[in-house]
Amino acid sequence: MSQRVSVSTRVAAAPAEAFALFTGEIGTWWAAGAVNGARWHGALHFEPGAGGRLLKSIGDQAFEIGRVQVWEPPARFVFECREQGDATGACTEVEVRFAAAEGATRVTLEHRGFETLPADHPARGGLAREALLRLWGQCWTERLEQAKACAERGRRGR
Amino acid sequence: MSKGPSVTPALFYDDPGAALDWLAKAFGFEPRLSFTDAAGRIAYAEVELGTGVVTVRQTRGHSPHDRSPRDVSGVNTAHLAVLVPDVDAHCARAVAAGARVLEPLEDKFYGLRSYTAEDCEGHRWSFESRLAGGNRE
Repeated sequence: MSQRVSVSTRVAAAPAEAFALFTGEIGTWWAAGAVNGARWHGALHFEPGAGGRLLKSIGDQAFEIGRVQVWEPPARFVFECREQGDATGACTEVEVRFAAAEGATRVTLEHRGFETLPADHPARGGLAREALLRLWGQCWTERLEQAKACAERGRRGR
Repeated sequence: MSKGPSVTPALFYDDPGAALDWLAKAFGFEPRLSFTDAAGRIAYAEVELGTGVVTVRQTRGHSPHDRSPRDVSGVNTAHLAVLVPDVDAHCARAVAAGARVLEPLEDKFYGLRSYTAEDCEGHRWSFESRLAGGNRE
């Protein structure tokens, strides 16, 4: 069983709209969270579909955070999550699920696979497992709050 | 730990994972945050209903003072009161899911209609709606 953190919120949008927001505007909501106090900078975008890449770019530099493992709109998507500059190949996994809930969408994000990271792995930032999960819990909570606010403002930006 | 009410009750369960499922099915609580340990056990979770948040914690590894009611002959020293839009419908849902009702639905003189039930490990909950024209004292 994988050690994991799960965060959930209700978004004022239909599942298909919420899926489009979470994938098409990932840079907008992802930028809200901070792990180890470091705010994230740059631009993010998905190449839609299984096998596509989640790319982070700063200026003309691009880094592959991970590959899309599951792409099932509007129900869920799963992607790998790697640290920039990490050559070990170790990565965690993030799944985002969308379920219709009384005219809105219950969005549940699960981040798992922390047990696969060696103790000295850069993604740990020197933290013990519990502290690392706690930080990720705060980070994903902030990010989902941001996505929720985006949906409620009707900001699609496309 | 996340944004939410300034006061959040924490309930201890021997099996928090089963409690989360039960609270969702019987009382309508939705998940908000959870941490699962390497053994697959819920170490900490938050659930929400309306604007209220309750934390669900495991008794394992905690102080001997943090017990599930079922381990202490069902004793409670507090119960939780939750305001819902339609307490009759809420009660029907809870009963259908197997909740044991301790005090049946009743109009109270202080302006509420409420019932009291216990959950899967014996924590006591009151669910209530405001009566038309009633004021809570």
